[in-house]
Amino acid sequence: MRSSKFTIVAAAAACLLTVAATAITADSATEGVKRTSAPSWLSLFGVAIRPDNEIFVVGSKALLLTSTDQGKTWLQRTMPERPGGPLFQDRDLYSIRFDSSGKSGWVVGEEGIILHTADGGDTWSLQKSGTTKNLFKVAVIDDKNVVIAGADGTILRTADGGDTWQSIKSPKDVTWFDVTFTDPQHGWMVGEFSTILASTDGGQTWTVNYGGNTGDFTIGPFFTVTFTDPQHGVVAGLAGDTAVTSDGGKTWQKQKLPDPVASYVVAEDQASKALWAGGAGGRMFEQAAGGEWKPSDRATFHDLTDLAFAGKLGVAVGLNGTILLTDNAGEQWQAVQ
Amino acid sequence: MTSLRIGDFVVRNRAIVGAILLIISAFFGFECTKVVVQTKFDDFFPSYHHDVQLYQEWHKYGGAQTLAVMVQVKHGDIFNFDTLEKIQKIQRDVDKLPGVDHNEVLSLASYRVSYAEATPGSLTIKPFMFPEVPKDAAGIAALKKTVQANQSNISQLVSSDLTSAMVTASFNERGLDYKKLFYQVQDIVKQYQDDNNRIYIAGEPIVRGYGYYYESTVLTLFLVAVGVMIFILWITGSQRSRWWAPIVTGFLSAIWGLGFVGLMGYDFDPVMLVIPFILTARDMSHGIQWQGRLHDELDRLGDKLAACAATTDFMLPPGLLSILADISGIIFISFGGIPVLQHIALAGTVWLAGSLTMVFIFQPILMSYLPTPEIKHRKQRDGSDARSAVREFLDWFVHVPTRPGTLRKVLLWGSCGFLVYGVISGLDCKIGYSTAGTPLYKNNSKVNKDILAVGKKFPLEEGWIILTTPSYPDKQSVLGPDVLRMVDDMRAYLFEDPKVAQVVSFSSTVSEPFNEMFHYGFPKYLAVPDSVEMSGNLWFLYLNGSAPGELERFISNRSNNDTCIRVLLRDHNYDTLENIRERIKQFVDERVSPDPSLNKVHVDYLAGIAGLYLSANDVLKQLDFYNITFVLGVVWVFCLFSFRSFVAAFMFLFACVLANFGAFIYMNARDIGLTIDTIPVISLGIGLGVDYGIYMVARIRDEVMGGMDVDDAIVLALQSTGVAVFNTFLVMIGGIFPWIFSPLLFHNEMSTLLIFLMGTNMIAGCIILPCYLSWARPSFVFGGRGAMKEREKPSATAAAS
Repeated sequence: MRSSKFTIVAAAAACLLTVAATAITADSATEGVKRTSAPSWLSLFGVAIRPDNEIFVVGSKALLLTSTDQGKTWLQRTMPERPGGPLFQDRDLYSIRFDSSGKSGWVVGEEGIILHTADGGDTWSLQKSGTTKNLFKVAVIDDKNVVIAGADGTILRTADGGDTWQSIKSPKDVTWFDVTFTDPQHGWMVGEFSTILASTDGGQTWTVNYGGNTGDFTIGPFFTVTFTDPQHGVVAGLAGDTAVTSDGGKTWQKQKLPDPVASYVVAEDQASKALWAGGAGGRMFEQAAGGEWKPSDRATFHDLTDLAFAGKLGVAVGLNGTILLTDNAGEQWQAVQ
Repeated sequence: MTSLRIGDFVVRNRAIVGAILLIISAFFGFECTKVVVQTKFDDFFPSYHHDVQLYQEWHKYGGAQTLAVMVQVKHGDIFNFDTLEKIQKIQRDVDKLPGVDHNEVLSLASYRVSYAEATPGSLTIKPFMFPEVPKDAAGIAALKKTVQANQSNISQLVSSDLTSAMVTASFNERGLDYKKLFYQVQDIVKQYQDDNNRIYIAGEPIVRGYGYYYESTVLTLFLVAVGVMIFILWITGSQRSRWWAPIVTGFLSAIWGLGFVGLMGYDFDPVMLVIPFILTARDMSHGIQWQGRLHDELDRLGDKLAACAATTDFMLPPGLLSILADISGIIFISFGGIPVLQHIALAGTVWLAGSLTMVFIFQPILMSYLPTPEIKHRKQRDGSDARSAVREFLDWFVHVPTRPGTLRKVLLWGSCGFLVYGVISGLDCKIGYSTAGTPLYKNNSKVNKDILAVGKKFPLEEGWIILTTPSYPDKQSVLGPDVLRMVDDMRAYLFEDPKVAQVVSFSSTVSEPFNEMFHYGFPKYLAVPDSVEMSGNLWFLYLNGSAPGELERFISNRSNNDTCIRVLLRDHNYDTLENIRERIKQFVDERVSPDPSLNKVHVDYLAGIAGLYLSANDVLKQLDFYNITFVLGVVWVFCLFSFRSFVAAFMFLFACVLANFGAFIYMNARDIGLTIDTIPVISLGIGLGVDYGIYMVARIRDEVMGGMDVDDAIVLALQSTGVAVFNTFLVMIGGIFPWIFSPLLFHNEMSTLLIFLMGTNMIAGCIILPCYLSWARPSFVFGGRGAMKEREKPSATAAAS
């Protein structure tokens, strides 16, 4: 009798546990859709790797993809970027960056969208940017100070974690494609007409460091900028155009990539100190520390838009749902199918 | 059955009645010359259906006359000189085809197919492979890279795996010579196909062209079917000197039917050939029955004219009943509004009315003028073992219904089970076509293999979503950013359905890529332009750079107040089409309707070929339900009046459902859905098949009312009427059996289904119904309850004594 009672209690407990487990699973399932690759009809524009190696990718139609297993599986979510049902969440998200702790992060996108997380990306909330211009790139200095580069001379800055965003006067009325900081004070921004801006006050003011001849339409833009240390930086643009500095921006030397194709992102693999450029037609180039640019084996034919590295893990994203992964610091890139 | 006493009138006035009938036949014969033999694609879809009307209203977004020539390499990819040169040569040859629209010949080698390249300070637009094919390896490698980099722009001309390339062309619809076009395209295939380069062709002109390709096969089948019918007629009736008379009546009723087709201006669709055959076979069957009875009456009366009159009187009521059942089986299919079914229904009704007139009125007149027919008695051969075994089997067989025991129980209970299974299958029956390719031809035909091969690389099934909006520069015109964004959202939403292969819209195909190119090719500008002015500028840029007519694929006029979104589907299965429609509806409900910035935008769907199939599916399910209900209702009413018994009416209803719902079991087993070709067959099957039961039960009742025991009457009916029924079954099967070998799927499915239905109807009429009559002994076979009680009295008295 006693044993049968025990059996009944155990069975009831098992049932309850099962129901609870199902409920938990169902709850987490409502947060997103599990996938093994990105939807090929959507564009991916930004990638960031948190310190715990969780990968975050943003893209068109308010897309957020996350992976906790180095890209083997992905959770697809739609960011709440405007009022209305899920089908109304359709703005493109262009860039995602976290602070060094990985707790605070920002996503910027089309028509002035700024989304912020304070819990490492679990929940996101809209912040008022005060603009409807496209915001192409975000640079996170720390959990309070953030700078954004955008279309038609848009430069935004916050010093309070995004509670208020301040519009910074742009020295040129051109579109800014990328922004980066080498330390909390020194920042770099690039845009149309091969213009390079520099800031020495944490992004409060910006001055033209290079280019800026807006009257000459034969001058192409720089899409991307990266600095490996305060002295060494590289910018890249159309038709294989690049320029490098080794004196903190005092002088820039023009260079060409091995192939005359546009590069939309240059990033440093901090583990190997190699530079990687990615761009039109899925072309990638690698420059070992102090070496020459060399073309890498092509793993996709779709444009690449962003690159991120963490240790030997590297992630490149691009149009048509392209995700390329490397787990050997770029020796081999594999497309996520 | 009551006799109508028409026979005397017909025979007395045979000259005038015969002359009138011949004059009418001559008139219809003249009208026959106007019959146009052709397949009209539009006739296969319900003209009143919203999707069909939408398709016709927006026909300017593309007719069905598109040719697709696919070059597929067996080894490697298309980027070798040989294959690229073939693509170029095919492009040039296609451009020379009769009726081709020179603005709409597209391939990798076309000067219209180009890509944009952003360079500092400029935007360069270059054709991929024009004017020349790159001759060296470096040039070919560069072309390959360019194609790969612009894959999304050229995905409709080069497959993503680079193994296949497409040459597409549109044709001016008026006066297009399909035969000439088809054979010229075949010449292109022959000229350029080799071991490594396989060439596949698809498109409506090719589908139509195959009709001419199979012309001789269909003609041969036609002649074989006629020959088989005549042969079976001869085999079953050659002991009678006028065995050929049914051919005359069959021929004349065919003239009535075809004459009506000509008179009404319908097209005679060769894919529907099986229907006229089954009608003619039915006509001959009635003729055989009539001839059999004439000889019986000749034996009884000894006078030709009296025998003709008596035969008419005896045969007209059941003949009228069965032909009315046949007509009811075909007339209701006209209710669906599908022109081809309406034409079949009306022409078939006239054809059957012609049968009634010819078999039961003209035939006695014809026979009255001919010498008295004789029976040529065949020599009785010595009974071999085989013959005696057959005789023993038949003797055993005719007693099956009257022998109580396991077999009869199995037959009765088995038929109940079969009926239930049939009804369940009917409810489960799939609608529409379940395979890709054209339903006109078999799955393994060359045309469908080609379509399948092309469809694997380049989706061909196209559904259109039409947006009507205010004109530009209104913010809600088709160039308005909110509208473009909504269209792009719809594209993404539809892509969640794995059956959607591609969504082509002005937004995703023109506006966004041009916005990107206008902004240095920077990928983050692959997005909706941020203002209506910018959108207008991009539209103008595209208009100036594109070939005449190219913009009209997306936006039909310069006011920019309508646009077509093309959804390319992987197949046209019922579920695929239903799901896509549901998905679009959901999108409109949740995304378009609640958005105030789109309150002047109207979204209409689904036109294009997918919409046409969808319209047919919508109608067919309803049509099938109403049609079967009406036909069964008519059968029930006819049998109620003829046999003056509810039991008889329900018994025939049971037999009809039993025999004809078996069709659904067969269809489900063979993965055949309810389609335009199967609906008329199921419907006709009920009308034609119920005749067997009517003839059998009428004969049994006649004999029982004449004083015979029920079981003896059943045995006699099986030995006499059963043989006649079997003969008519053979004639009908003979007429439709050859069509099983037709390359046309319509012929194939119709004939196999009809043969199946004729078989189940014969089993129901000749075995199951007699089993029931022997087991239940319903009062109507005795002529009513009173007559039954009268019959029971002597047997009760005998039993008591």
